Amino acid sequence: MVSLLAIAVSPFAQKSRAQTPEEIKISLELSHVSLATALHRIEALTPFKFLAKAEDIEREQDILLSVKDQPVSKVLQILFKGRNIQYRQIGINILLKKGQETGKKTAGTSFVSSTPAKTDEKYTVSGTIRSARTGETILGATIRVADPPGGVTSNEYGFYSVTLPAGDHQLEISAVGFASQTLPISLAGNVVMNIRLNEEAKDLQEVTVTASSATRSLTSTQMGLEKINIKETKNIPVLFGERDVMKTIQLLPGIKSAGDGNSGFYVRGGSADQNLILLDEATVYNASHLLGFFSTFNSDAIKNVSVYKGDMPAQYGGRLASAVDIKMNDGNNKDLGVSGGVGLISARLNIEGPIQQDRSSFLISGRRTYADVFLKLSSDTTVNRSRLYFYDLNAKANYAFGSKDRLYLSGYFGRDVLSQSNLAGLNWGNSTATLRWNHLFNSRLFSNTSLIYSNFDYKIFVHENGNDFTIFSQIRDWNWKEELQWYAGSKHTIQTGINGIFHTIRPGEITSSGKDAGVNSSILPRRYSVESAVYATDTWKPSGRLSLTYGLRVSAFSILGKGDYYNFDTNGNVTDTMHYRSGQVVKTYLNPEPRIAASYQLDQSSSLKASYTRNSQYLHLVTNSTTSSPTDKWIASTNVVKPEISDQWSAGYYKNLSEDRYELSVETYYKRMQNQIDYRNGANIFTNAPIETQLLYGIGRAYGIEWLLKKKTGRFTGWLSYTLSRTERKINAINNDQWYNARQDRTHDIAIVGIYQLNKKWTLSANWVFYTGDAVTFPNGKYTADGEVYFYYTNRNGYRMPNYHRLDLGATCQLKKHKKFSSELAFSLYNAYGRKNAYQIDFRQGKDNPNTTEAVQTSLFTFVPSISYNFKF
Amino acid sequence: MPRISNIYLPLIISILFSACQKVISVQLNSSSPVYMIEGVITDLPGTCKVSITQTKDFSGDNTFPGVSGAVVTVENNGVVTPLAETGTGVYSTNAINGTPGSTYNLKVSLNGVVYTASSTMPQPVGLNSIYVSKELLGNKNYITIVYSDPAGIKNYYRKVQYVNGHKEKTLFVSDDEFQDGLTIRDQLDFSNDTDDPARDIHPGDTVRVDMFCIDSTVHKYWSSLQQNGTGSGGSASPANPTSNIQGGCLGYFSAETIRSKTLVVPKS
Repeated sequence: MVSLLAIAVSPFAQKSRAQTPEEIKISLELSHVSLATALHRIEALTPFKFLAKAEDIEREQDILLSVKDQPVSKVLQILFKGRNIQYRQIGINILLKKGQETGKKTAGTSFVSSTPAKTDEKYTVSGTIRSARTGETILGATIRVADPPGGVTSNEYGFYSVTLPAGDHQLEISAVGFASQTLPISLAGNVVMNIRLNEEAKDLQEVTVTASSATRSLTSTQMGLEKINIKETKNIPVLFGERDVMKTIQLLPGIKSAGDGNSGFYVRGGSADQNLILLDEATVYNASHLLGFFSTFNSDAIKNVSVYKGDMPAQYGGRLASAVDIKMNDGNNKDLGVSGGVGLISARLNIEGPIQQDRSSFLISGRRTYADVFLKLSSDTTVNRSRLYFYDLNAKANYAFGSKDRLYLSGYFGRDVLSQSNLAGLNWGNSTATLRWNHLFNSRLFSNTSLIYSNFDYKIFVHENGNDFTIFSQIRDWNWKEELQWYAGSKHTIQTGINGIFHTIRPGEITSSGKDAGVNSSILPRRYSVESAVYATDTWKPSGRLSLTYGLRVSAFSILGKGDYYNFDTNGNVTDTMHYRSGQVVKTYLNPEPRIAASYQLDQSSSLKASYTRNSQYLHLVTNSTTSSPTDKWIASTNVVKPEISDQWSAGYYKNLSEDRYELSVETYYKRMQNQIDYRNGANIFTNAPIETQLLYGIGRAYGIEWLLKKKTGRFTGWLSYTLSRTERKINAINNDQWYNARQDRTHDIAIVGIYQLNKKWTLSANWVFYTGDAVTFPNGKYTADGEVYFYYTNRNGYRMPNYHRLDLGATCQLKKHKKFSSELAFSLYNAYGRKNAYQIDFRQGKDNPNTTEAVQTSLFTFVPSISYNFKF
Repeated sequence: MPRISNIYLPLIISILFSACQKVISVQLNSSSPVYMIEGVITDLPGTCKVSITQTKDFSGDNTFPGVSGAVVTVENNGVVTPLAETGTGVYSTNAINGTPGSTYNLKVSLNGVVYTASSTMPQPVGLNSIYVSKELLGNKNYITIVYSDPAGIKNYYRKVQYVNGHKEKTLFVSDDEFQDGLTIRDQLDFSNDTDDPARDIHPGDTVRVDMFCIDSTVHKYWSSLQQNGTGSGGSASPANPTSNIQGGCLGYFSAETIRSKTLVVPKS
């Protein structure tokens, strides 16, 4: 890891037109000081700030200098003479670098095309924003222009396009984790300017994490969005030391954990299956390993994560509660790099490098748990022949064809394997593949075409005790997407696209082997469907203060034969059966999903936003267990199972406090949901009978207010999040048809996250969470049946689990750096004060006195220390 | 067919190695008592019994006094047989010899409310053999039963295990949806959650398994009780089992056949 040390970076310091080192003259006397001191003295006398790698300048000592009324350029020439240090100016920043660089190269490699200047003409600046060190594209970077005031953000491929009047402009470019840059530009024609940002610099003496300005846009109409740069999550303490972005997002308002140590989550009162989880655009149907304790996302391979809490832009569809858009790294296009780590649970290795220098790259990243290695050490044959592991493999490559076309191929393969000798086992996993083609029609029209494959399946095998069979189940998608982004002018950005997904669901297929297998071979009928959508949105800035985004997504879901579909009476009994041929349309649902969002900037540091969004969902996960399981069943809408529909209204207030050091957001929402699904009481989950015979339908509502106060600069960073919310369901024939709290209804949800950079070596962190216990069904009494005691229930979810709270501590130690090699040790302590949080409460006949009944609480994780070692070269 | 949870078990144990359990006190509301009616007719001659009890608060003890004063009858083919109260809340008769294939209708009148139910006695299925087998991971003893499922008809089973006369409280309920017409080997797995040594199977113990053939509505009752009514916190929606008795009470009325086998666990 190369750490960039800068003497100072303050992107907001100088808004006026940048002066050049030739224009400003200084006088300075120095004897036997370090170069760093010399640069500090120049900073004090001029508007300039210096940026440099620590190792480039720290060995430069014993400076002697005497200048009088000389331009800064001249002073720097004298200073660097014989020291092999080059400099270049970007706005008020002067970048220092060792080596052969000519100094002519600017941060933006630009060329001017076409036509000479005309004063009232407008021209477009466009290009790609990348990391200077790795060449990774930077998503969601902000490009701001002072006059006329405005700005754009880079899209998910790092592309930006901004249209401005001819003449001189300052472009201020900023992104989370990167040092801001101000680039002067003189527009006399359309310009392609590819921008490279340096990684966030740290002050030479104070080790201050510098202001990465504008980490969010006050003017953007997007609400309910949480963006996580994977680097930000690095220091947050985690269970078993296994970094997991799905657990980090649970510390943000409106996103609730599915349980202690769990990577599953609920967004704004939605259920777990109402989250659309995308990895490089491919749907991941089961995003967890080992009963939900780890997510399928290996942090090494992930660039960033955006969580849309219901106010999804029109390109996302098919789920009610959220879209979690996860982007994999592209790979370093400059140098071959290897990184990895070893933790308590797993070992990781990541290899990336250029295919074409500076133009294209590849990445391969793997993770595997090794708990089963220890099982092998056991002398007990039943234990040492057990297998228990999971792995993830991410691979990605991109290739540029000329300046206008780029292909990306990315894939993910992950699997959990669990077996007992050769007797019985279960394995499950996802595989996804995405082929994307970025094409630039011109500087204002960006196109992306994707072909996506997504698969989730599980296999169970049993070869024991006269039972000999396998069970297989799968959900598989083929998905085609075409999207156009048209930067129509300074006031409009138009996004439009079309999408079609072919779903195949194989609910369950039993294959028995041999005559005496104990089970008959049987195939639950496969289900076929096409989910398609067309959408368009326009982001319109009628004035400097007001922005509007309005759009429409029209989604359609066609259920296709071959297969039998049924009608039912109210008790779920089949009344008639309809047969469909292969390819015949059983039914098509069409749902217009309008959305509108507005933002109004109150002043420099605050804004108001409001939005309305409708979403529909055609695939549903039905489960009757509190623990997520790979065998939970995905079902598609049928003639009877209607698409789920949600309408969400939200409003928010956003303010940057004390010179942008703090960010405050307050968002409130109300959501109503139609066609919610639940299992009937006593439903048979694995049956040949039509699934509709086991289901009930109803409505839902959720509302709440979310507060987030974030500090992103200084030695101490972190956030405070608080959610006050409610979510309820009303399902026919459940709870006497009355409203009841959904299980994930938690009144209060608090998270405090703090990271403190003690010195160059040590970073300390802590987080504390508190939430109201889940709404659960406890018995109101008991009775006897066949001589045993059973429990009597009246209201659904009428009780609460005990309140949950937990403190985690973490510390990261940067070990001594060598020329190319750097490494760190990360320590964490999960549940530091050993709170026994209730994972489950069971009721049973008394253990000591069988004439009584008792409640038994199971707690999972108390005091879980961990250590992991990470390296990079 | 073995339940998938059996395959999970070793995993869950290893994950939860640090899990800890403790008895806690939970404030549970009281509720007005509801009748619990259990009616059984078997194909053993003269076995027809109905017991009526009531729900009580969680904090109370586990004695469930019978409810007297009900008028109970069982009808079959137009013949109505009254059941006399032979103990407090226990109503029985030996005038009915349950016959497979017959449908029996129960009627209970109690405090002005009439409860009715109907159940058809299936054809009996006997046990071919029973033997001792080991659990998937570890050395715990279980009993495996072997029986031949009749082909072409739906069968529903309930098994009850006794170790030295102690009834195992775990419910063993199954059907033949995926096993129609096969020779079925079924290991009666249970978790000794109360750590009661009397529940475990040791060499020298006498184990008896009763095999009941039940009808679909009674199977629904026991399987929904097993899924959602046993007090397990693993169920997302605990609820009362689906009763086949009309009128607003808890319970079941089952016309069932019974076949048994006994073994003495060999001293390995």
